[in-house]
Amino acid sequence: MSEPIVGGLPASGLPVTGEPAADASAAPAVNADAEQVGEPAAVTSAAAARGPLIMEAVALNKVFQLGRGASLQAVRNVSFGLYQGAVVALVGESGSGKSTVAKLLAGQERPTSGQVMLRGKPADVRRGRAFRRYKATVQYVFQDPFSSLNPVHTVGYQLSRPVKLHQAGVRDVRAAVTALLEQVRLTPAGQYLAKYPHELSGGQRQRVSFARALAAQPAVLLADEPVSMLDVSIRLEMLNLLDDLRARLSLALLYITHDIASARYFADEVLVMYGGQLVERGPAEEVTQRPAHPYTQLLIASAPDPDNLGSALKGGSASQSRASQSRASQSRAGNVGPAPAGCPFSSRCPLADDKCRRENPALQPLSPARAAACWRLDAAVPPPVASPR
Amino acid sequence: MSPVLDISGLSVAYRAPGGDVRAVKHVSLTLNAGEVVGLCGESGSGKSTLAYGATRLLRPPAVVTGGSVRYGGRRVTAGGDPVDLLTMSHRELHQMRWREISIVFQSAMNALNPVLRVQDQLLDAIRAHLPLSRGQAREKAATLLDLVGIPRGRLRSYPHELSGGMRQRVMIAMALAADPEVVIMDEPTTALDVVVQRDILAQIVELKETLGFAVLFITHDLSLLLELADRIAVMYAGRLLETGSAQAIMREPAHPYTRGLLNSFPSLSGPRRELAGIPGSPPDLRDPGPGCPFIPRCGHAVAACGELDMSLAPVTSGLPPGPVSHLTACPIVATQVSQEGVLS
Repeated sequence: MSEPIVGGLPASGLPVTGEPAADASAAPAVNADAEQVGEPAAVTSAAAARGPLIMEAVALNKVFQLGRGASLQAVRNVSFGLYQGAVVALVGESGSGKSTVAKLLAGQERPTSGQVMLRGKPADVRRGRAFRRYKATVQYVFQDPFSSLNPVHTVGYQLSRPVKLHQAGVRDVRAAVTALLEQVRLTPAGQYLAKYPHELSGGQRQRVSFARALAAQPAVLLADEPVSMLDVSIRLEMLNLLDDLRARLSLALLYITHDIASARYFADEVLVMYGGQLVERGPAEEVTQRPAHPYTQLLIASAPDPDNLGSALKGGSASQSRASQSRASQSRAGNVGPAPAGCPFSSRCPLADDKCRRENPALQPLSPARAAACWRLDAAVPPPVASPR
Repeated sequence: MSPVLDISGLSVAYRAPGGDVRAVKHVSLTLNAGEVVGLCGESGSGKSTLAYGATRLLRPPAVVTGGSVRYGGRRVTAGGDPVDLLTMSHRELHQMRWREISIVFQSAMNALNPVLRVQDQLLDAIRAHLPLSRGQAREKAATLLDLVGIPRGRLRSYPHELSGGMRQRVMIAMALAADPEVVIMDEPTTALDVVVQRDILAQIVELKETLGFAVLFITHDLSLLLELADRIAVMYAGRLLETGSAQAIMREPAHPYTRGLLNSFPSLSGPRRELAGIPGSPPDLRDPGPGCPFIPRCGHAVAACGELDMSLAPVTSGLPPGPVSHLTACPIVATQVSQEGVLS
């Protein structure tokens, strides 16, 4: 992984004074106590085996000014890479900052400090041809296919616009649009060209969103909860389609989700985000089977698991952990207001001690491909891997 | 024990210019006192329409076209016969709502009025249905918040000052205001993330244990129901395809659709297994073919499927039908199950 870029661009639009900021401490209204302590981990991404590095987030910070001097640090010191043909899953609850990270990568938001790198070059373009090229290379798929398509235009029209915009040499736009529809398996394509979004099911609409993103012939696809609005029976097929597109088009894919179980099946690397920072990362199977960080453990314990018939919900042995979980959820992540000192999870963590409340841990390597940000890793023993019945 | 809610042969149609859309077709479902029954189906399967039809909350163009809904709560029947909700006068219905049957609506997160304090909204519900003075009602509102674990100070909060999970808890508290015997919950946790979702579900189970109401829990997420429900009913295209104990549905799913659902969600524990999902898209209710509605997506369909009457029959033939028997609408695959045991 790269070193943090010292002397990165000062963020425009925000009143950063003095030296260009490379870390959060120079940004206004950031609680200095919350600065992460310890050397950042040098981890080789589990996704790196798939292909070359395409896109990189380097020590990204994003502070939103809320007025009256209040601010919210939505993203804190987040670094990771996206690799050609690989899926990186960004997992966390609402308000953890996952979508803000995607918006920073997409260029929709500017980082307060830190750098987005595309193919080794800083992505700081703002307008003109270079900006359009960047937008074409990095495409975004939204969560809600019911609101992300324009209801008054046909599918064919909505797909022809990005084709005309991004595929300059194309003469036969209709053929290109048809090919896109076939790529997302909306066949026979001719049948869908004249349809309006309201005539399609949720799954079909999301396929149109995929096709629209692919129209720009991107190298990176940022999929923000692409299946969470869809029915369970359709989700799997959509994830398989996304995986198939990744393989055929060698896409670097960022899969944002709150469903860590789907990340296990779909992703090469899992990044777990909490309170704006990465708290754990590693190969998908390892993180989901032997979670190291207490938050990851809570997340996995909370996921509904069909193999866990008659579980803690029906009372019984796990009642004590239930009680602590209950307390845990009383406080919320991403609360507006001054960032608490120390580890962002310390107010909910059953293992938190004084140090956790005082100092914010940086990611510490656990193995060449894994890292977790926790002072109590010694105590946070991963739960035993449940054996199949 | 007679069921507290007995839905029998209920049919609901939406009147449309091109002909009726039959959203619920001849569905029978019972809910026993203190039981959690999970009703599971994808969007458009008719699960909400079933619940709202049974409680007479539907407005035109939706009309109940047949069936009966008998309510057997002890305060109403006083040991006598159950009463039919579908033939009641509006006055009688008003007596039933909230006190006997209450509903936590879908997208309950947005069901609170954003410009009124939590207290005022709770008081509205309480005073409309219980003969309490203002002071008593205020005390009742406070105890309701205690019940769902929200500090009393939050009574003076506006909805936007509460987190999603707290708003959801307020909605549950409101539904419990008049100590109902049946609570219908329509996707109560869908917009919440997993940690909060689990807390709310645990809270529902806890409240159910202490207060003794029965829950009809509607969701599209079968994996939730496997952990939560005593019995599960699987709905598709307006029909029930399978009902049984959570145990039976999980271990010996009889209908190909149920099996497809079980094979659709990735599991966190156990070895990684191959996931198949369900090919195709949900059916178009405007133009249903004859027989089983699942034929276009079913891998087991044979010619006889086009002539099924979709009535539920015991999976293990020979056993007399009982209150918790495992029933399925698919006679073709179900027989394979009893012969071969659990199909993979």
